[in-house]
Amino acid sequence: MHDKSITHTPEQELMEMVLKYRDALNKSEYLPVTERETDRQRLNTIYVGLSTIRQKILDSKCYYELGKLQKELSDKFLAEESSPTQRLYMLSYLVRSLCHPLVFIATRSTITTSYHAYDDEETKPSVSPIEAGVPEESRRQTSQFRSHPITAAEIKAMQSEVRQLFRACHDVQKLRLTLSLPQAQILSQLAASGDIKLTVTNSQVPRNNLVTSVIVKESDNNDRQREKA
Amino acid sequence: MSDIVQEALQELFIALTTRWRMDNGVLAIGISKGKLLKAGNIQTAALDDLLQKLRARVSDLGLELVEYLYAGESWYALRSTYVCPNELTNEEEAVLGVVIANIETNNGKQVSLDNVKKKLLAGKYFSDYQLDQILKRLEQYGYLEKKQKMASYSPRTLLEFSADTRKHIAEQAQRLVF
Repeated sequence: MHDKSITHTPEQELMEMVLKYRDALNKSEYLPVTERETDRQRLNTIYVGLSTIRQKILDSKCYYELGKLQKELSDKFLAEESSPTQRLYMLSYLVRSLCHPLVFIATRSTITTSYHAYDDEETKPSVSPIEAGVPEESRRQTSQFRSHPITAAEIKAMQSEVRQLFRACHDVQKLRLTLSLPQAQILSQLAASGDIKLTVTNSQVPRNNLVTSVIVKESDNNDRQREKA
Repeated sequence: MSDIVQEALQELFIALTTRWRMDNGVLAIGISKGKLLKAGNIQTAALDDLLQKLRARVSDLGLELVEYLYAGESWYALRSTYVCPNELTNEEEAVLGVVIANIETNNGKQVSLDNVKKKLLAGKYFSDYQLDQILKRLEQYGYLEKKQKMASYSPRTLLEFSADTRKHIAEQAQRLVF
């Protein structure tokens, strides 16, 4: 608050206000509306007497800090209308809607894997002319990042896990909520190979609106006719 | 296009989209140039030619070939040009948003995970165990790189979220999570 008993120069007064609002923001102490309004009116009065550039810069800083506090307060006030979970979901939606994902597929690779083992110097790949410019230390660092493909045993384990999940719940709508992306891919592969059969009626899944990443294998017309018979 | 080139493009596509893990269990983002050269037993010029052809072919599918430098070597990966579902859960996406906000506020430098935890635990968004698990998964999926108690961007975050996008997420995260 402005203390009228002590005579301040406009610069001192502005600096005090800048520090006051900066501290309040750092400590998340939201000053009462009356105090902020009084300070804002005081700023308005001081502005008439400002003459130097330094004073005007301080005046701008003061308005900036005041505005920042006000904005944070308004945001918090509006956000308090929603629960922490809702706000997290809002943030999650934002992240999802701005993401351009890289493409990965959970399956066995068909490329040769012999190049993964660089245990001795002889088996190391020769350095291409472009890479020759890269320092030896960086190249050695890169060679630490050996990668391992998903093995056939791992895929089998994942398949049996997905089969178990499918046996426990045949409802695709419920199942898709519990599956991770690699599991959904495995389920899709199992369905496509005819290993398991997923059936979804038209009323459950609109054909023009994809709601799941699982490929749905539908029974063909012959099956339906046989069922009717 | 000859059958050999066609087959090579097919193998290249598989190589770029296959999941690999590093020695430390973290998902490898795409595949390095060195590994591609070795696997195909080809020269750099031939690989560049194949990559050029693949780039042209996958663009119709809404995919783009991205090249990035990591640990002094070129890596390649395929990225969707459109926004589409990713493999993260809602909670993981939200925590990633908060970590992005912290790193962006720190001018892209690594941040202390204690600060991230402090904010999310104090706001009662997650339990300590939940948060540890989420951060661990984000590291395994290749979004974050953890060194002791510090976290920084892993290539996947930088590839999937542009600089402007990260800035926007940071602004919104500060507004929503307090």
